[in-house]
Amino acid sequence: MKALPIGRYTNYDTFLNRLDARFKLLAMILFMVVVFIHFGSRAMDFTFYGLLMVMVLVFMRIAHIRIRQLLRAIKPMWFMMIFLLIINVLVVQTGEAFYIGDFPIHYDALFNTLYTFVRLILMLAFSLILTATTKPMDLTYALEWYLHPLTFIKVPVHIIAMVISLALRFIPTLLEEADRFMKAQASRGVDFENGKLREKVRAIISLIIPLFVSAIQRSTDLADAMEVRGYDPNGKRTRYRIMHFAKRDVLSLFFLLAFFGGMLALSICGIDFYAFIL
Amino acid sequence: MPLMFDHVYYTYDASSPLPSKAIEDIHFTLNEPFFCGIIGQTGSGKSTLVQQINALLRPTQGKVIVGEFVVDSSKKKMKEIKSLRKYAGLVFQFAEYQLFEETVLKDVSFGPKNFKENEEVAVEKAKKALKKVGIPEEYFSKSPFELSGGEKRRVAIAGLLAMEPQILILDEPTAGLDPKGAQEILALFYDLYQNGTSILLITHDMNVVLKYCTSVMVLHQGKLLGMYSPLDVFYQKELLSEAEIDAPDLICLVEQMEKKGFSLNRQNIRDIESFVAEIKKMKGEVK
Repeated sequence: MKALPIGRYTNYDTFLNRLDARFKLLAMILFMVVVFIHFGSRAMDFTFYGLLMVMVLVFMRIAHIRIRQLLRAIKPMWFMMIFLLIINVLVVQTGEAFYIGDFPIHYDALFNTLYTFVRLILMLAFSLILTATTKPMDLTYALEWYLHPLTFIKVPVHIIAMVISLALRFIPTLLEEADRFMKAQASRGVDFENGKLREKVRAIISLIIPLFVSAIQRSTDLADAMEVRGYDPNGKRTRYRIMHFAKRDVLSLFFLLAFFGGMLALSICGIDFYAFIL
Repeated sequence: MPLMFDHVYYTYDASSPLPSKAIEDIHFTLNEPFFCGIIGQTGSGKSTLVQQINALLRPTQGKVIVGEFVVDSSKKKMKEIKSLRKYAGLVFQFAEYQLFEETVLKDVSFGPKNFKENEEVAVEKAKKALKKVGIPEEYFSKSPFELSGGEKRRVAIAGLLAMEPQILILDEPTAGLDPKGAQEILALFYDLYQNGTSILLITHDMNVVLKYCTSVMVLHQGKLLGMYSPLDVFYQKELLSEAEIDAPDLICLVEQMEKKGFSLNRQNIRDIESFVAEIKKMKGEVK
């Protein structure tokens, strides 16, 4: 239950924690773009992946995130990667190849898998850093801030933000409840780890039905509680906490944009350092 | 057979940046059959303590001996875990939420079936358990979600009773029940105890502790303050104030009367009836 792929917010007072959520959200999106763009050559790609990885490690260091947390987030992906590798080896038939017996294995297939793997790790790492240093509520506010222009074309931004923040708010509650139901059913002899497929399906059903029932119950209760306190989704609302951009945010934004601009330029021009060296 | 805690510690999220100690150095022995109450404020570690008994949580340090089973801190999966969970059945707080089957009868027979009873025996046991908790036969084929809150709770308790555990652990089984329903359920537990089942009862209702329990554990901030007789514990003012527990009204009344010069035999007073009997006896002496 605790192996959640995204990090739980930890209340350290680090530089990354203090940064404005709006900036961090933008930064994550831009970093992800960098993760997915192609540079001049394969060697360049992996050089920059290396650079990004170093940056990730530095950020993690600053935010007091342990490497083990990242490894734990990656762990469930091993199976997927092996599966992907097999598919790639069977499907990709271009480029140079080496042979195991009579069976050709193309380098492209290996690199395709490696690309996906590295990108996934980087993406996980960036989202881990974001969620470990930013309160979910602040993230929703940031999202609402970015979506605000859409109100002009009658998109109910506030309602969307409220729905997201409620959903985020209830993730830990639901996990806790799932844990409780698991224990309750385990006390009745359900074995969630071993058993034949049929037994496993039954075990999962004994968990899912109570979870659904209580989630629905909880949401109707919550809706009532909100209405009783006069919540009107279309009403004008003020905010208790107002976000301010501080000097550090502006400075960081400057560095981020410079970095992103540089990366984009390198990518678009397709410059390959290694071509100059060699 | 004893239930024994040997210096048991449990820490939540032990390896995380924010570990929290739930129970510390819990050490006691109970000989079966017992009807033991566990009292203490919210957050004193009561629920954590009982979850060690059927190995839902494994001690961070120390070990728990339950009949012939030993629960210790090793990470290895216990082979006999199923037998242990049949031996010591745990009813969670707000147990009504664990119901999921289509019919009441199916849900109650779910437990025994998990312990490899065949269909007929499981249904037989389920019927017996449902009768014990006072669910009439016409409810057997209803969906558990149609029942009232109190009825659901009884069905959920029946779900554990049908497993016929040697030790029945109950985490606030009467919270939120109407007084009459609560009385009936407690009387049922007492009946089970007299027929040889051991009962471990977490409760905030001190009247219940006074009336039914043979012994009572007092927990405070994860530490066991001691194991007492319920007839003594409520007269110990210092202990009660340390554990932040209020004595039942009946005890306060007895104390007030003693101050006014009545001499009552404390050891006989467990509930209103026994109190009245004691008063009558006194009247007889006066006459």
